[in-house]
Amino acid sequence: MKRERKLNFRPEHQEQVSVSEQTSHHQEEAESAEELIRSDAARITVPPGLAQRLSDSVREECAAAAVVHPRLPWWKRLLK
Amino acid sequence: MNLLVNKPLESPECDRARLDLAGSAAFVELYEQNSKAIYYLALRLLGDPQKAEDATHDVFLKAYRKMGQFRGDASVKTWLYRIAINHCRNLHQAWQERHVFSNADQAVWDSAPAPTKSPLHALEAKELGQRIQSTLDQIPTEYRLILLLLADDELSYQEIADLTDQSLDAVRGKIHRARKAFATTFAQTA
Repeated sequence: MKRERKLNFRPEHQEQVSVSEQTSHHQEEAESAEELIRSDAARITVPPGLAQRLSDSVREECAAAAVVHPRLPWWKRLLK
Repeated sequence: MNLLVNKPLESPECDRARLDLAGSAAFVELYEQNSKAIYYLALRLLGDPQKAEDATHDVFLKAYRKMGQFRGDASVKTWLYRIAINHCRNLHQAWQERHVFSNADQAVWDSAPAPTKSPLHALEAKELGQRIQSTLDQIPTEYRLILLLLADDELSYQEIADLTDQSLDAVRGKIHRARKAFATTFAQTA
């Protein structure tokens, strides 16, 4: 309940009953929002092909960079 | 994650060892630890599993290119979230300019099935996912982003404020309204 503690920024002069009711109400809201989203997120899986696709892209990127900046002697690169 | 700071991409001349992702331990670690969070954020912001996959791919590719620029001022996760939020925002703007709208509630669950134990459980998960997507689509964009970030326990309020370009007090005030908007809308989707 770290987050709920952070949310207690109401004036202190409110009646105790009112504060506890509102805190309870906020907790219910939090449960119906963040908790629902968390449970939804827990069910979602990253597409299995994504890592391979990313690996291929990085490989292409590096290959393209190698073409643009070939490993030539410094004096040849100066003449380019 | 200090590996990322200590091992930036030195030059455009990629090290041959980095041609294979498996050879870049820091990047593999970055992907493994954060891909699910980034994919889920993209999925719920874009509402389409294929677009979310494309966005996640692009976010990590950008991260790979910019690893050398990462200064460590924020956490790596916050840095990735920043890239993802900007990327999704740019996609939305591009779609609006071209009048392309995503309406893929059904596709979300057809192409991204959850690992569930029974058909009944699968149905419940599907319905919940559809309701959450529908709810998030109906509340203001600002609230949607705040709630999605808030659901990540690893993010502090200050980090959420930084990611949404708002003050801490502004975010605190909006959290309550965002929760209320979500609860009201979610109840209507039943």
